[in-house]
Amino acid sequence: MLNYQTITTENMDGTTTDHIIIDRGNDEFTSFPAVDGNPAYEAFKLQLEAESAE
Amino acid sequence: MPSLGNTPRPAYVYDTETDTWVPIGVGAHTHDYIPNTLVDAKGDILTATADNVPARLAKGADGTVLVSDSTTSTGLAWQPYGAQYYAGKNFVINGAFDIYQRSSNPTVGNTISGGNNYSADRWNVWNTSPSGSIVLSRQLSGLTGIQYCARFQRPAGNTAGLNFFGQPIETANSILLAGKTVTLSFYARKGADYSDTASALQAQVWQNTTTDVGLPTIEGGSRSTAAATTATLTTSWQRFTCTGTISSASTQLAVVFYGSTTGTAAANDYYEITGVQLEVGSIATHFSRSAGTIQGELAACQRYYFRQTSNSTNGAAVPIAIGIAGSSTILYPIMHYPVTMRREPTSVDFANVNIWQGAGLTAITNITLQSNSVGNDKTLLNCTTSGLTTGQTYGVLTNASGLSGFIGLNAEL
Repeated sequence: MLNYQTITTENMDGTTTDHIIIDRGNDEFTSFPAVDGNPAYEAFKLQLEAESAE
Repeated sequence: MPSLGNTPRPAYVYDTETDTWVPIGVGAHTHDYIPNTLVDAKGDILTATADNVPARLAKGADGTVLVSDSTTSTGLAWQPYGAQYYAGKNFVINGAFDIYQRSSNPTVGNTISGGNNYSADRWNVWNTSPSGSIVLSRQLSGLTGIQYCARFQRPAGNTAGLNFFGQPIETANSILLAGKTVTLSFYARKGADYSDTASALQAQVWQNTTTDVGLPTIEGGSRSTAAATTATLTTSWQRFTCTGTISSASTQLAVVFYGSTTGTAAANDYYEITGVQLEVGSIATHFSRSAGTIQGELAACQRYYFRQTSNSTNGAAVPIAIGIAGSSTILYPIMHYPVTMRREPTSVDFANVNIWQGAGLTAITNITLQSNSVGNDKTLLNCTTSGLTTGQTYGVLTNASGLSGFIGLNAEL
């Protein structure tokens, strides 16, 4: 099961973006903007759906 | 008095109208001809071994070409295509698994639990069972001419279902194959406990009208299979091939492998593949790296993903980037890429990296892409740490424990 958290960062123009940070174990992490259309975010959503359906 | 033709012939007939003896028949002479019996089989070529001495040259092995060779009796010889290793023939990048940036120890490889993930560079593991687990690793192949192979393994005790292992091909490369006959070739063997009941491995070339997407999306919608074979594996290497025609409407291809593994995995429930090649034509030729050289293959892979990491000869605190502190807890490092990437990265991998200002290391706890400041040849990162002074410059270094520190940028399909 995915082990993740969401953080918010401030962009240079003052806006903010949410990011997903996935803990992959062994001190390894993957982060990506939680923005629709981002392939990493889309794959993350599909995996969450699959996990909830199982 | 009748005239007599002056050409010597075996006989003459008399023409009363012209009062002429007309020669008939053919005089003594010889014929030089090549008898049908000189050729024996499809593909035989007629050649010569000397002046006025015809000879037969049998067809060469599939994929070979005819070259001049003065050491042979006919002056000709079949040999593998002269430029066996050249860029652009093979549309599968990293088909021999030479590049494996995502693991500091490729022999152990990556454990992939559910979902769609990359492992060896450009190779996509799609585990359709969220609770399933696959270990993808790189092993020595033992094959002549190919150093490594990929091992796709269900770990012992695993009951995961259908798992795909494949490579989605970027649209810019896929469209070059539209309307063409292509051949997929690869070497494969199985582990002693490979659990497909028929020891089968399905190998397919998928096609779709998608644009730059990964395996799960290519598989959906209007996907069709342009070429396929069912390889029956043994524990010894075999080369398999299949040929098909790509639709002229196709905009994206993928090379995909999967087995119908069943039950609970034993210790050696795996298959291994290498030398994966997709090329134009109906004959499988000698395997070539997609980019021709190891340097080119690395650059081709880094166009999709690259990782700055420690290395085996200098594992301690290797520099990755330099940045400026935006606050006491946020550092903005600028990360330059070794090659221009396919597009701006969409995610970042990291482990065990630190900030440094000339002495001592302080751990970085989170790294994200700095949205709106991400390019396809450099990017700004957002690193969370502590003890910074706003406006000061800091280095970003791996930690001092060998291979475990890295930052990787991902622009994969």
